[in-house]
Formats: sequence, C-alpha cells, structure tokens
Amino acid sequence: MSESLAAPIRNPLSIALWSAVTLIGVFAMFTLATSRGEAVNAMWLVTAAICVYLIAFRFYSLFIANRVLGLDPDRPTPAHRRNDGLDYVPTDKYILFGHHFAAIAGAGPLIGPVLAAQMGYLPGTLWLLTGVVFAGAVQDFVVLFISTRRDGRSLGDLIKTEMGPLPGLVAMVGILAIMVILLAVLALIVVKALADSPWGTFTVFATLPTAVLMGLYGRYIRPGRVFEMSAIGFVLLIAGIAYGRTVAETPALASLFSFKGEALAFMLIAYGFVASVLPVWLLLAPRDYLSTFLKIGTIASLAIGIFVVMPELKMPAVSRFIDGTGPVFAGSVFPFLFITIACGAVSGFHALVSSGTTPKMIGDETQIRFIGYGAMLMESFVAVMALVSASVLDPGVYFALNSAPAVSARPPIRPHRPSPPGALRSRPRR
Amino acid sequence: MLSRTGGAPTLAVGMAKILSSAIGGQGMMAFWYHFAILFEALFILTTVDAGTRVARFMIQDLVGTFAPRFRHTRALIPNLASTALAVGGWGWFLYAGVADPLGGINTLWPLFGIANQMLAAIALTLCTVVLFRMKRQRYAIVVAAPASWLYICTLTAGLEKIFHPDAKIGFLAHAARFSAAAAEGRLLAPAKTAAEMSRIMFNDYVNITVCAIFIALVLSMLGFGLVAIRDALRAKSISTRETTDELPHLRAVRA
Repeated sequence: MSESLAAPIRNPLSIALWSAVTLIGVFAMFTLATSRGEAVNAMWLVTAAICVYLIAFRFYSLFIANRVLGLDPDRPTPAHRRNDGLDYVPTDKYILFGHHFAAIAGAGPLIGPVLAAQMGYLPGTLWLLTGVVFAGAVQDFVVLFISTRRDGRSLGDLIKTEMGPLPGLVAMVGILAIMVILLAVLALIVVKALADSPWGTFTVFATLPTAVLMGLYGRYIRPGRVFEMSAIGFVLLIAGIAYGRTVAETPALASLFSFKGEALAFMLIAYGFVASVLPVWLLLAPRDYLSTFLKIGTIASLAIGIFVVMPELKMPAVSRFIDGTGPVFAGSVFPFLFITIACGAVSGFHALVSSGTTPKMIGDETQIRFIGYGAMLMESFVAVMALVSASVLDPGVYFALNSAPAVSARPPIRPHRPSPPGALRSRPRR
Repeated sequence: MLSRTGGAPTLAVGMAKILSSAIGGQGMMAFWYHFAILFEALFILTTVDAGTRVARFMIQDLVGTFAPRFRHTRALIPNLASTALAVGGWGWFLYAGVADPLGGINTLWPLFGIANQMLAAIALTLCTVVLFRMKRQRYAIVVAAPASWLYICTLTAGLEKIFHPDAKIGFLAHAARFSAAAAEGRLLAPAKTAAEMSRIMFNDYVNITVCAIFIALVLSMLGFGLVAIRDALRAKSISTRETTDELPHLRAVRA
C-alpha cells in the first residue's frame, strides 16, 4: 500500500533488491514460525528482524514522511531559528542519531524481552517487530516532528497548547507519576542484580570515582579532549571489572562490598539525590560519554558475537506459559505480553526524549525520519538481541534464574517443587 | 545463581554465553557476566539520574504554576526540595519493591509496563489530535490505530491487575487471600511473620491505588483527545499552532 503512495520505484535494480529483501525476510519468518521440535538457529530470527526493519524504513517511514506529515526541507528548524550554541544547535545527522539513540535506549529493551521469553521466542518476536514498525517508531517519529515544528517544546507543554490547559495539567501530573514508577522499577533492577554480589557491586561503585576523575580531567587538566577522557575512562572501567574478581575472591574485601537489597536501595536513593544536585560536568556528563561508548560497544560486540557464534535457540517457539501461569510474570499473552515488552516495541518514555533535547538539534526537517524512525528500529534490534540472549539459555537455567524465591524451589521456604516446565525439555539445573 | 530475578542477571548470563564462545571460552564467562552486569547497571543509572533531573524540572514547573518563585532552576531551596520530592517518590517504591517478600519485579514490572505504554498512548493521542488539527485526518489512522491498541492493552491490563480473580494476577484477590489467612492466624508463603503478611497486603493496596490512578488518568486523556478531535473537525481551517515558518509564500502555495 505504502509503496504506491510513496515515491514509486522505477529502477529495475531497486525492484529486484527489495523483492530479494522481502523474500529473505518471509523465508526467515516462515522458518521461525513453523519449526517445532528441533532447535532453530538464532540467525533466522536476526535475519527476519533486519529484513522487516529495512522494508519498514524504506517504505512505511517514507510514506509517513511524505504523505502523512509532509516534511518540508525548506522550513527552518528551531536549531537554525534559535541557534544559541547551547541547547539549540544544528547537529550532524549521524551524531544526532547517536545522541538520540543513547537517550532512548535505556534498560527497557533489554529486560522486557528477557522476561517475555518465558512464553517462547515467537510471541515476543512478533510483537517486537509489528509493534516497532506500526507503533513505536511511528510515535517517536511523529512526536519528534510535532515538537520540532513547535520550537522543541516538551510533551506536557505540547499537550497544553494543542489540547487545552486542563488536559495539559492532567498530562503533566500523569507524566510525573509515570516517571516515578519507571525510575523505581529501573532502580529495582539494579538492586536485584547487585544484591550479595561483591564483584558486580565493586565494578559499579568503581565507575563513580572514574566518572569524577574524567570530569575533572575534561574540565581542568586537558579541557575539550573528549576522546582522551573517554579512553582513560574505558581503561579504568575494564580494570574495575578485572579487579572485581580479586575483590570477590578475598573474603575481607568481599564482605566490604556485599550488601543486602535494602542497603543498596538506600545507597541508590542517596546517589540519585546527589547526582541530581551536583553540577552536570562533574559526574553526569562524563558518565554519559562513558556509558554511550559502552552501550554502542557492547551492542556491537553482542551483534558480532551472535553472527560469529550463530547460537541455537534453546527456548521453544511457544511455551505452555502462554496460558498465563508462567513463573516469571503471571498473566496471559493478551494483554500482558504487550505491556511486558514495552521499550523494544513501543515506549512512552521516548516521547519525552523526542520532545526534549533532540528536536532542538535537528538541522533539517527531512532528517526527522532517519532519527525518529531509524533510531527506534535500532532500539528494537537491541531488544531482539536481548531476546536471543535469553533464548539461547537452557530453559531449565532460564527458569531457575527468574523465579522469585517465593515461587522457585528452595527447600527451606517451600516444601514442594513448582510444576516443572513440562512443555520444555528439562535439563539439569545449575 | 538461583532466583536472581529482575531479568538483568538472565540477560547477563545469556550475553556471557554468547560472548565467551566468541572470545575467551569458559574461563572468561565470569568476566563477561560482570561486564554485562556493569553495562546494564550503567544503562540504568544513566536513565535514573537523567530521569530524576527531568522529574525535578517537571515538579518545579508544576509547583511553579501556583508559586512562580519555584520555577527558578538555579535557586537552591526549590532545587533541593524538588529533587528530594522526585527522589523520595521513586525511592519509596524502590524500597517497597526491595522489601517485598514476593521479589518486587514480579509485582512491579507489570505496573512499569502499564505506565510506560500509557504514556505512549497519551503521546499518540497528541499525535492524532495534531493530525486532525492540521486537517490531515485522512492519514490519522497511522497514529490512531496504535493509540487504540495501546488503550485497549493498558486498560485491560490495568483492570486485570486490580480485579482478576487469580491471586497471581489480581491485586484484590491476592490481598483477599492473605487477609483471609491472616484472620485465621495462618502464614502464607513467602511471608514468615505476621508483619510480612501485613506488608504484602499493604503493598497490594498501594499497587491497586497506583493502577486505579493510572486508569483514571488515561481515560481522562482519551476523553480530552476525543473532544479535541471533535473541535478540530468543526474548525473550518487548520487550527494547529505551529511556530510560523517565516516563509509565507511557500505556505500559500501549499495550503
């Protein structure tokens, strides 16, 4: 449909190319959906995802850009009209893509698919792909467009001007309440991952002095040398991980860095307060550089890892937990799959970024398509890789890791074992 | 490594498995696991402190509507007060989640998903309204369809989280099961003391309240959206408020 409405394809080479992409994608999807019993290689999943993204970007996003929104390359963007060298700066589209991607790619795309893997890899994959093409990327794209045409104002502000003062007020209160829950849950994930793990705790703690050191280096010792600063940070980061092993293996040190969840929660709360009050250059900005490099580096190495190793998916396509009795989260596919996988498919949090710093840096309206729609496809790809990572684990290991003590078999707490994941091939647990 | 819930350790184990088969083999598995954990923690911490800042500005903006002096982002007292309010808000839920004998994630992740998807529904409602006001409603389905799907999903999920008869899903049923047991003086796993029993029930009621607030919120935004669309349809011309593009000749051609 979009094909005929958007720019028509005339070049036969292009027709051949896009037909090939479509064929490969359909074949990969078919392999994923129809194989039962035998293990499927993760490459099929990755291939299907990439084909879907390419087709969606080439055709659907072009249709939205030309027909639905009417992007106008001649219209000056706020970055040009209000260029102040500080917030409003016309920025190279690839750099801005990186900035926008780093801002939207939080923990969500990583965690949701992992939890949803209890239903098998197929339901999660289908929702990730349809969700991002028709909902998530469209939302990021259109909100970015709306905000760019209105001086880069924020979501609450936009609702106020377009829908009225009362809806604006309700939306602002709502956005705040939603943010509170989002932050609490994200922080909870960190606490759960670090509790009683001296190695992990030490490594994360080590990033704080590293970031402060980087901040001081960038401001006083060699100002403006962002690359040098990041290189130092990266070396210290890896050293921190390596030394963490020593910490974990030395009982005296290990006890210093082993905390219960409650204690970690209070530390995080204190950290959140301090980080928000401190000047940005000292802790936040250097840490942002560091984590942006780390994000892109890790995602790239994971992608390369998947392509080199080509692991097999151990999870079945559809497990019996689609009936809602899963141990990781309870509830049936509809509606709970669609809220469990949030960020890789569609995420409201992105609307805040798309109406935050990004619209103030767009140099040309037509780039909104690449940045708004494209970065979200990229994020969805990260979610697909997270799904692959969870699905290459043996189902036995997966369920042992993910069952709360209340649900899993820990003799002192509960006498009888939970019903074994019967539809899954049971393997020895760790 | 049993029962490390929250998703992050699972992902780290999966990533470690893939990366160690590429580089380092079994011996590097522990290194890659902690590399992955660090990576996830940095991801999250960046979001947490950026989010805290955003929440702080929102609080200053909101309170500023009533007390304009609160708006000055450089003033010390409003700054500290709003930061404390923002951190206190998420900190409270964080602590409740950590102390929750049920493991926290099991309970809170659905709320997280509902909240996040509701925000998306609100954003897509704005998009739909703007398309109608631009008189481009011919294409409104592009944003209206995902918005409707998100309304359906989040409202169903929200209502099920409150009212579902299965105690594993519905907070009301869960609280009822625990209060029935408490009345008989029994302890239900995972609670080991009467205090933990009441803590679980209290958490259930907090979650019910949060869910109900979210549902009310998203329903009212849906109502506002429909009203705005009706008004846009009645308007004779483009009613959206874009910043003028300073190119009147172009605009005349296009309109």
